[in-house]
Amino acid sequence: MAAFYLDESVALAVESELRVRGHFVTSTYAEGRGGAPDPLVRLEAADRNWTLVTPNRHDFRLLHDAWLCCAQGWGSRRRHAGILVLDQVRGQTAIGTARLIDAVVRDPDTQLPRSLYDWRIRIGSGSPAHDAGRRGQRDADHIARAMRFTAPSSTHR
Amino acid sequence: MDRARPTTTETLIARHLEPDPAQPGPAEWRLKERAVPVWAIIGALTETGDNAPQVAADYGVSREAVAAAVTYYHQNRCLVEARLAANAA
Repeated sequence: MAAFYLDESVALAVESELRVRGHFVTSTYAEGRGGAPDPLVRLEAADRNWTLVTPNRHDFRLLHDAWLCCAQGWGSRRRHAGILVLDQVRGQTAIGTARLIDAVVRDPDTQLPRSLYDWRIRIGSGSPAHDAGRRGQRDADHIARAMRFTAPSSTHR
Repeated sequence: MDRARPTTTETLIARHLEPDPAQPGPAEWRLKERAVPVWAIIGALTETGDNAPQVAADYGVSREAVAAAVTYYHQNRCLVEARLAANAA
């Protein structure tokens, strides 16, 4: 069971579908934070140790990179439950999205804590597959090199 | 002097959409209902838009709000497509 925080770009109905599958779920809408700036959403998810779920790869990758830089620059070992970025799939229902999220977090290869787990549709495969799950590690390594810090030995900072 | 009346599409957009104060720019406009970004609604629709009722139900917004998002998309197609492409990059 995981604890999820859905931002407003995720369909509201995904919340109840994930609860049916045994997860704790809340959302910016349910928390009265609808329309809140992304950095505050990110901070709230981290404070409460909820995995943030969003298709907003553009904004949350930038925020995650900034988080990594700050954490490494300030020597912070603060944990957070990670960010799960999902490709939007045209025509996919809330049930389909909830099934996908459930499958991703139940996959033993998925490592969410402290990372941005990037789930993408495999181009040309015709079926969803998470083929970019190690992106968080690559980002962390890249930033560590760029800032001349020692690359983390664990998977994610 | 007569003032030009807003068109139906302008009225629809004004009723249901607003800019995001935290992220200025036409690509970041959102629904007034639940603050759902227009790009999120467009990204959930099929090419033909035949699942619009399902998208409205899943997002917990009115069908008219989804129609406003589609109308806005047709007026700002390049910007919304670019925003979706930025997410896919």
